Amino acid sequence: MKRVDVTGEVCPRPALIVRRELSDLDADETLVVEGDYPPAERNLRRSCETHGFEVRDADDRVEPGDDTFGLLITTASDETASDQNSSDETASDQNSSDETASDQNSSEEGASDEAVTPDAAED
Amino acid sequence: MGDPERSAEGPALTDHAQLHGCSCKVGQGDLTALLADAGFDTSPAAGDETGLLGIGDDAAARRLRDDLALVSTVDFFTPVVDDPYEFGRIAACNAASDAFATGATENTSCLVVLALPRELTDIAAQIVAGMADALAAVDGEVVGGHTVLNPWPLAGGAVTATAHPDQVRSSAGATPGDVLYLTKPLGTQPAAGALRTTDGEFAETVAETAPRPVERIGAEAVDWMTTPNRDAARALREHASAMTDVTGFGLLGQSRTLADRSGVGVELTRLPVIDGTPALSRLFGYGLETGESAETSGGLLAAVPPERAADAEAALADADVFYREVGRVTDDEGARLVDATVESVSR
Repeated sequence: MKRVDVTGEVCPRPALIVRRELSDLDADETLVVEGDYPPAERNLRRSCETHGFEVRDADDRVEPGDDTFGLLITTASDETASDQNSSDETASDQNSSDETASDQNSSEEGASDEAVTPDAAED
Repeated sequence: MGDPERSAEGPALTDHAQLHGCSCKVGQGDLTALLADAGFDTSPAAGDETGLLGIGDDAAARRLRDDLALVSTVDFFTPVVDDPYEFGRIAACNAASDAFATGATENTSCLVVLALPRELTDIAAQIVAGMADALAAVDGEVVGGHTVLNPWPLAGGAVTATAHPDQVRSSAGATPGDVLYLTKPLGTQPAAGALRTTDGEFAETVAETAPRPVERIGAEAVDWMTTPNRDAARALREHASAMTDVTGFGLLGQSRTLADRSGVGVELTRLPVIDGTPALSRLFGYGLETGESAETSGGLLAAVPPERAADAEAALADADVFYREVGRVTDDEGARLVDATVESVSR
């Protein structure tokens, strides 16, 4: 199990540090990410899920009243993992005009208000 | 843009803060709780007989005479770029935008709010010069201010402006069927994030991810952040049923504010974005393509009744203001994206 600590790192560095660690993660390996910056947690979850990884809480890292967080990141079992390659992403984004953004219906979700509360002012 | 030699002179301006630009704004939920705990009524109907706008609006507005309203607001934030002069321009543009979002665009004046760490006091004059130039560009001026020492740099100001009371708009007032317009593309957060990584260990990763040169994306973002919303406000205030500006809550969050305060729903169908920023947002996990990415000094979001839409569009075009129709107002509640098209925009 690989570990990376992004404590004290300011966005967008945590996402970039984790991405670097994930680039040589074996298929059956888990990356444990520790940090202390709430906006980074949201960005890390979104960044990893966008690139086809599964993200779970590392429960033993969560301390009530504390900003620290722990995430367990593994290679997703489905085909979405194929989007990990940055060169693919670059190529696809060059045609981003008029792409349809899918699955944005967050307003129905109970958490939607939180999506724009403190952490939405994320960085 | 940042001085390429800054690394030889110590940390870059943005390195002095952990949050940047409008992303340092406290969230809606926390603000609502704070006001409720302090005993304030934040409903759109609150306010006394002289108050046109109050708590919960982009700015406060008071009716001084039957033909004159005074709008006041305060806004300041941490550096979003490393160049002190550009930071000042962005900060002033952003602070004035809250007044413009209410339709008040005359007699604009600004009291500077400036906070700097002791080691950065030598850049104070550049920040204030940037603010003064940004105010001058909207026929406004810096009329005073207050400066303190502070661990994180902050700049902005308390802005006042005037309007005829009939011209004053708020985020309450949108009605189902209204057309929604946005007057700047989105994406300032990933653009600024990319600029902060251009000289570090991840510069290559960011450059490879971006479909255009990062410096070009960043320069366009600065151009948008320093584009005043005054002309957009003058074009839209005659036609809009509701107006606000898009900042730290992002387009989706600001749409939700407009929906909640108007008692309506919002469906977003188009996201104009600065060309190249979606790929950066995906890399950084910022949520641009879901409307969640924080914006700094973003555009006006206006709801316009359909019978006024053609006139509003003509007024925006006459004023040479960028705009896109981004959605519509419904009789539902909340805000959501519906098959939203992401459209890349370059200047």
